[in-house]
Amino acid sequence: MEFYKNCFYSNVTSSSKEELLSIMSQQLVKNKLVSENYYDKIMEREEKYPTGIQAEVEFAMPHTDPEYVIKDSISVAFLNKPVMFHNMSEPELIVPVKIVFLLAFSKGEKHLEALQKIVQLATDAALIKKLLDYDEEKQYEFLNEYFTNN
Amino acid sequence: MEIKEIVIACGAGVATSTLVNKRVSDLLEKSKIKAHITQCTYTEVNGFAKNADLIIASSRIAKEINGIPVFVAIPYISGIGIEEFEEKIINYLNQKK
Repeated sequence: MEFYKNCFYSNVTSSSKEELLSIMSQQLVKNKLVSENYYDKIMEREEKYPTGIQAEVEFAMPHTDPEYVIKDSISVAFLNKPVMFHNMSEPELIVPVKIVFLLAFSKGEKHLEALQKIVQLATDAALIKKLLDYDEEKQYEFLNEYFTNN
Repeated sequence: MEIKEIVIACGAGVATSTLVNKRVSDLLEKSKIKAHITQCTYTEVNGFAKNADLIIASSRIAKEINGIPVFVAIPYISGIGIEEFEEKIINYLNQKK
């Protein structure tokens, strides 16, 4: 799995999940990591099966079918101001999300590993807090090490 | 001991259900409950649910399907309430004949 520097968004302000996911998806297309229709597929799935998670630090993990993925990668956005997602467990509810992990994965063991890492990170409120205090460079270094090392 | 049939479902049948599958498998092994787990998408769940003892989904798709209860596996993703959730699974499977 790759975590590219241009797929990391620190201190980002976005008015909606559509805007945010569109920017993140376009970068993935530019990096040739996903197919051109990735954004549409992400949004389609998000509408049917939302991925906002009500945790200590609210997060979302949009993803889609593996067929739109060329190469496994993860994109991360730390938001200055929460962006609204629908709740995974109760889709009629809204979750103000502070971190977005955009997953682009094909099937396999790697997928599970990555997801476990995301959940472990996202549910560790103390670690997240520490991470948010870092500058952008250090945040990227930490996340890159965290996601790409075994 | 009989083998329980468990169906684990999420939207794409790939991301969340794989994680939940792993966690539930570990839990059952630890609790010495033998089970056969099928992983699928929400759209496939009705078909697989026919012979199931329990359905575990990442979202509240239904309270039950064909009389089989649906447990929502969000604690494994949010990190909140994992212990209670696992207790609920074990208690349910142990009391079910």
